[in-house]
Amino acid sequence: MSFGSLNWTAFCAESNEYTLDKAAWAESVCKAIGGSSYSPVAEAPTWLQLLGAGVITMVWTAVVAFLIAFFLGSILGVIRTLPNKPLAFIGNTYVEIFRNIPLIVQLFFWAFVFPELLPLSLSSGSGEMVAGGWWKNVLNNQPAVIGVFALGLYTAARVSEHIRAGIETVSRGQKFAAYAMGFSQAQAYRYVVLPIAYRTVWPTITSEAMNTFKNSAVLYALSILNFFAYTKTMREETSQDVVILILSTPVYLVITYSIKYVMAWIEKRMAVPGLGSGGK
Amino acid sequence: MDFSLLQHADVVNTLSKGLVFTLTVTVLSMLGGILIGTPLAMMRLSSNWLASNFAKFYVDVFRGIPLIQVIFIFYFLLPKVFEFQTDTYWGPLFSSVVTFAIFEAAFFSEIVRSGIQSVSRGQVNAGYALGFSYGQSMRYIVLPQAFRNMLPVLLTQTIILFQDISLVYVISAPDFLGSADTLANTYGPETKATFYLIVAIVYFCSSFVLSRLVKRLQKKIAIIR
Repeated sequence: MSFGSLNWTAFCAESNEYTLDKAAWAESVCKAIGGSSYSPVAEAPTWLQLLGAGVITMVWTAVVAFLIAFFLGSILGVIRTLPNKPLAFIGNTYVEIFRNIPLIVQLFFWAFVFPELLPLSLSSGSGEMVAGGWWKNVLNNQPAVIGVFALGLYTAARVSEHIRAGIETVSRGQKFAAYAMGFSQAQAYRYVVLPIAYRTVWPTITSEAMNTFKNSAVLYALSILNFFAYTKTMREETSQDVVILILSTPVYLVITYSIKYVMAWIEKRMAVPGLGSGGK
Repeated sequence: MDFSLLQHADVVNTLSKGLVFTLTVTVLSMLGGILIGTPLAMMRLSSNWLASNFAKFYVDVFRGIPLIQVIFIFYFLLPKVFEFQTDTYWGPLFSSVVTFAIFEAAFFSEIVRSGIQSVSRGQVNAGYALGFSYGQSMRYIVLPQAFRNMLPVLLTQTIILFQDISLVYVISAPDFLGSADTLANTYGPETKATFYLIVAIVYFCSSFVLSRLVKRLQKKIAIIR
């Protein structure tokens, strides 16, 4: 199935991951369309299988990071609107720090700078006591944990900006009415302000969810084997750049816009008749 | 962490060269992005079905793909179209400017669009009543006001662009982060922490100061309006 000089079956060629087991789905797909590139007796699984695994990695890292960002961002967004000055200051400082440093620099900060600031502990790599040894162990064995944590903290600053803006658009009269009914501050937030605020800012939260997924591609920089990391390796190994780019770009588009549809579905489910612009 | 590394002349030299690369790409691709983004916004708002849907498609595609993927695409496709060396200083610079200009055009066009929409319809109609053509009313009535209204948002987006340029790490371009990376490779892995911390601090300080300035500008403009 060669198209001009493009080798479309490159995806069924043997990859360089000899330690992985072959997955049945990729083998059967490649048996059907792989042509001469596919060899059932190859030692390593196909590129197709690795890319599939990479998509799964990207999706789960994005989902977990977004959940962290959503909860932490909500807390930060709320405390920034409270009359309590020190709490608001903490929230504002957090947001300023995490918004003004690029994501990839933050990833490197958590991976390489932060452990140096920790007390000494045993590193399994060198078997010695080094600064932040346990953190370095996590980085070596489970880089995804640190990547998800960093991406979550990064996105939380952005989410908190939206939540704060949402809370500020809720008219003060609503809050005062809640206090007049005898609600405490916590109750006023829980039952009056936040339900309106979340619904108001849901579209921006949606684009933040899409951004989280897109940003999760950057986690490849911490050697997390996601979709982007595998497309990059595959390009280096096979030099089939055009084929790889033509196939990988729609994958991102499909997932990003699926996120949009899921979030729009949630928005519809949550909609309160008569609140906001409704069908818009 | 060992900040005495900063006493080496070549460290300061390499880092400032990297910063200059980042700033050059920021400014050039901002200008490019506005140049491509403004016609896109006008197309998006036009009554021509084809033009408006093309602009919508352009924006939707670039909003749906991770920036590093876009950098990756252009880095491999541009050399097939233009003749240039990817392993020099100018190759990555050219590639980055083109990439970011085309990518940011999608975001700038959305900003310009809302800027154009912020100018009331009555003013455009008044222009037509005076016998202005579409181009004239855009040139003399809408765009001057629109650019003024959207200046703060445009500058905020430029600060984001300044930060996003760190992603050229993926093509090993000699930008600010890339130069820190090169230095960490020269001076050994134990200097990684120092260099990355310097990068983080410089990025934080410059973006923080710039965003404060934008906020001040926003207040000033708001009063005049």
